[in-house]
Amino acid sequence: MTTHAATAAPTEHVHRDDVGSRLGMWLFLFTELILFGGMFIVYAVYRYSYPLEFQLAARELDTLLGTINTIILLTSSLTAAMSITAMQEGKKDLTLVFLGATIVLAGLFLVNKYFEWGHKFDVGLYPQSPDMLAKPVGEVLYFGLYYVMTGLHGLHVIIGMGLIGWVMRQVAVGSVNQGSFVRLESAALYWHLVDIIWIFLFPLFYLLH
Amino acid sequence: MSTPLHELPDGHEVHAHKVTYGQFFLIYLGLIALTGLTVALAGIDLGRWILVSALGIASVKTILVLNIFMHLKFEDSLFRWFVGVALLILGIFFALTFFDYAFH
Amino acid sequence: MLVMLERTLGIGVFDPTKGGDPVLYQHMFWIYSHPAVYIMILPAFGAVSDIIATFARRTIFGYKLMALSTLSIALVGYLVWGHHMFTAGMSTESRFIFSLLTFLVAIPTAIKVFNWVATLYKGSIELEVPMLFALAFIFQFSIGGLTGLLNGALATNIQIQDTSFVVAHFHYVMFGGTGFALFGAIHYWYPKMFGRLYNPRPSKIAWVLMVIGFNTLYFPLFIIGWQGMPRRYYDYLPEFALYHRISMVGSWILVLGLLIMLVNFLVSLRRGAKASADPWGGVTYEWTIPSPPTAENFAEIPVMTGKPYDYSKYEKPAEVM
Repeated sequence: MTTHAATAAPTEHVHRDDVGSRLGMWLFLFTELILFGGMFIVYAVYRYSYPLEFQLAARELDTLLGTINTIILLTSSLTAAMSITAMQEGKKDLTLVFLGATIVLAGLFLVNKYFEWGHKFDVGLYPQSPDMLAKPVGEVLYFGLYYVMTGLHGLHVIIGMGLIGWVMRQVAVGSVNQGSFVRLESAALYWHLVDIIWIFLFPLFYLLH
Repeated sequence: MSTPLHELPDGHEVHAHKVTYGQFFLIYLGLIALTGLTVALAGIDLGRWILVSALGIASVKTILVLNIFMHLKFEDSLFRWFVGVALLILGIFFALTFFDYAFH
Repeated sequence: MLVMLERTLGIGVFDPTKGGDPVLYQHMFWIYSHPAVYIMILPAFGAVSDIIATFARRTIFGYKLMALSTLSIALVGYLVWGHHMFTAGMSTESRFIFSLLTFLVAIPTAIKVFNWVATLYKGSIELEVPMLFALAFIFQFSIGGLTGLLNGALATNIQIQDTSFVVAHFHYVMFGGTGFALFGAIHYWYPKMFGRLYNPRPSKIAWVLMVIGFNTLYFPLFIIGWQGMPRRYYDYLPEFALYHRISMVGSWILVLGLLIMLVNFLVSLRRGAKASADPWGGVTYEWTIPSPPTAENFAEIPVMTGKPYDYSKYEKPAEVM
């Protein structure tokens, strides 16, 4: 069954496995899925327990801003996807344009978030505030979950921006190119997951009424 | 269905399947439309059904993003199995946890 | 993370005064932590299969079922987390389901134990050090697994939850099981990894001390746990004193054994005899390349032609420890 294989000196080629690399990224995305999934379970249990308070609390959220942010993130997913097409066509500059657009849109999302949270802080709606502590417990839970989940999501947006920026640099210097761009695909996969998480966060927090 | 690989001059293989800008844009328009739908539905009093419809629409959007933007439709079927198992396990977590709370 | 935020920022997700539910926290905690222990035990199972096949000079009994049971344990292991929470306040129906699933996951595990024992039957057994650890594993893991069933049954769980019985159970599976299997694995692959043979005599002495020490340390905990000794207590009633003292002596013996084993590893790194590619007569692929392996391991990717653990055409090599 086995043959005694004589080992030769290691060859010069670098081991490359694009399918493996993509699969590896998908496996990491599954861990993110469980991370956010767990929090969605917590949300689901508390919404089930406090349906009225969740509805009441949701009125404090700005639906328009949330919708705009959703569209911004969807557009950024579009540009990220298109960057791969551009790469496949060997158009380095167009790739960089699309990636840059993705980062700009992500930044816009964060700016909106900043205003959203800022407004809430001004109105006294932050954890441990006197207004918050006076609210019924169901609402306190809603806001707690709101801050934690959108906060963690925002953190992932920042990380995604960094990741895409890193890949942009590699595209610019040519280490990611038409013949080898699995890193670009992986970064885009991460970004799409960030988008998918928001696709669920949006209706569950903003569109409760 | 797995996408054909084509061999480059230096011997490596890359994905031959390319989604065009137009195809991506079409999917994008669908996603925007679904977003509009979900916002519109939120304004109507659907009672219990608002949750189901919101999650349903979100799921359709996710399926579009997964399959086209994330290329899942064009990858090896192994990838779809992996995603399926991951989603199944998440579903089981939801189901069993809720099973507990349903009887409290 | 959520608990940290709860403590620092006052985001009361699990705080009852803020409407939170501590049971939900426990769900979240165990949804990860139970699969985690299966992540720990499954590689140990794999090592035991390799070791037993090699040192009984037999093909593993029922290979297909072994592979399938590994997959079943992996899958069903995701569904049983509630068995850590039987006394926490879950609904009765929920406890019933989790108990049922826990019993289900015991089935593929038992299949593996039976298959290992069947592999030993009529095998040509060599009591090399890895084999000693694998045998200890079978004994100790069986005790751990069976007492797991006692924990998993709702009626008995009420008596033994949060007692030393649980402590003894998980130490039997994690230490007596995974731990011992991994010690065996280190001995098994030591020549391959480091290119040197360890000295078997100290390791065998260490093994004797470890088996005696481990069981002396943990078995009394089953007894006092059943009698009501709570876990996580540093102080106890006088009737438990004798058992605690026996346990303590066991710990000294165990530590002595561990130290001897570890020192042997370190000394053999420098003073051990050079190892050939295949000191044990193994038939898996790692034994076809030099010890230690070169970069990239194989000159060309090997093509697998036979069945796994195929000992049918085996002949003992000239050089054997």
